[in-house]
Amino acid sequence: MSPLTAEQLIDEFETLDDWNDRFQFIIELGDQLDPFPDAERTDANLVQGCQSNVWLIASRKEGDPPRIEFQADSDSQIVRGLIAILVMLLSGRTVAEIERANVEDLFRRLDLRRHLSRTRSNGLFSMIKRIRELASPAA
Amino acid sequence: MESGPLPLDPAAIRRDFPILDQTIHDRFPLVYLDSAASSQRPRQVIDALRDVYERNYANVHRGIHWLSERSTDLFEEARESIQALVGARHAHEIILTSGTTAGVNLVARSWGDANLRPGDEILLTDMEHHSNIVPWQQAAERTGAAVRFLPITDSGELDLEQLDAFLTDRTRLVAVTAVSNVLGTINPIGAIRERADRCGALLFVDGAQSVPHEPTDVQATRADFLAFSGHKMMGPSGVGALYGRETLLDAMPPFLGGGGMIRRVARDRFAPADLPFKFEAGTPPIADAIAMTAACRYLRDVGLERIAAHEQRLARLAHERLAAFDDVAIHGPAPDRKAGIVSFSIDRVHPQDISELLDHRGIAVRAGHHCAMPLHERLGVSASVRASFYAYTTVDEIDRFADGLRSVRETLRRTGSRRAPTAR
Repeated sequence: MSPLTAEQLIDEFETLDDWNDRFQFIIELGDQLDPFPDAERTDANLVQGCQSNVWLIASRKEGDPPRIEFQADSDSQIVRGLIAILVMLLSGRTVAEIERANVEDLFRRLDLRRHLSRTRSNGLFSMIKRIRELASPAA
Repeated sequence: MESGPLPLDPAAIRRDFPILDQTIHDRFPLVYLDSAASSQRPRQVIDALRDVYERNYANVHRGIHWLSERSTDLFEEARESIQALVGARHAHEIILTSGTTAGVNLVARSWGDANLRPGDEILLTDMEHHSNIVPWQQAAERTGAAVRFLPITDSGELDLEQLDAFLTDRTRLVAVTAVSNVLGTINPIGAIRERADRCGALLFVDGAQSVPHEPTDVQATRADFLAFSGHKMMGPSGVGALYGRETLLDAMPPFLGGGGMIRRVARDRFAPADLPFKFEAGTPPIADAIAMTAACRYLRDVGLERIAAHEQRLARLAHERLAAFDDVAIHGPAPDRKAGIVSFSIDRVHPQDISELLDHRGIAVRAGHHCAMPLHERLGVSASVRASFYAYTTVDEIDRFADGLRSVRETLRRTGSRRAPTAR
């Protein structure tokens, strides 16, 4: 999928003044996610703490420094969109970049916290936590 | 012309509900379709609560002073209001609890532990709320009794043809909801009572979704127990009631021990108080209980028959409007056999996405398993979306809900047909 920076995402969001259009935009971002391998839809790959099912896997692309790639999917279209944002920002980055990325701040600037239900935003932070766990060298 | 009670005027009723008159997400009038989870309450109940705290509050059944006498009188008046609402023979057959869940637990603990033996059976149904499942499972674990489940039909009604096969000489109690909190199904409590009589089983009715929405008469249905909640019937949260037949309650041991439930305490024993205090240990939710008088009066003044008729009209309208959407599957029976609850699923769409997008159009519905996981398993879905109505719900709100759902479906179905804008 085409890469999009945090700033570009915020710009795009600001052109949409209606939250229904913003949700539409988020859902369409999710539609651009790479297909998730069916074989990886296992309980072990489920992210705990999400009300909808979220599957998340990570792979290490060797190099100097190595880069971490993520794939994820959900049975909720809104959550798929949020996943797409996380993948755009964090997939293919180095461990140091992932640790440094202030994803929480981005979601705050997108005002998603106020517009997502509490269970949804808790789930979102569970996903971010899981991504960091998978990226950490110990994992 | 339709016979029956004069239709109620929800616009007039809404003037008593300040909370309904507000704009959410900056621009949408609130459409509150989640009364099955918790209803809103009228000004009269809110005023009654304030009045208790401003003028009439003291602990009940305790002090020999003017204010305590006053609050005790009002507290007992609330018990009598609830007694009248459900048609109980005696006021002391009404135990004030914290809600339906507490009522089920009280009976499962007190009656269950004293009466259930290994091999005994408790008959539940496939449409029960977790509150009317788990306490019985726990009682079964403690006593060696077994819990069985009467199946439902594909149309979401109890399978009465199988009832006789499930009622055996070992069935000690049938615990059934009067109205399903998901399907809206109105269950034939009278018919279940007759069949339970043949094997001598007691009948416990979960009235959480029925007492607030239709006339109740425990003497006519001959329910042995009936539990319900204040917060679903325009009353305060944190208070509810358990009706129990006098002879049964009298024979049951106390459940919670503490102050207020005893006649006498010695170091080595205690003697419980009489009904209803035997089951009311500790300081109750005094103000909330007292305000139940205002809630019962409000329901009586509007008329529960009219409320039931109004909600059925809304359910019929909602079914008609949703029938226009070919991908929407409504769970439960036709509207003439159900209360004002409409649950549905849309193929391959997550219920939470629907409720989240409806919320951003001002419409409050609930998505999830609605504390009825065995039922959802039977329905073949992990969750559903539920819209539920009350006396203050208007035809206009059903229209807004249906229009909102139309646009939400378009949002969720357009996925894949268009590429999202990317970096410019």
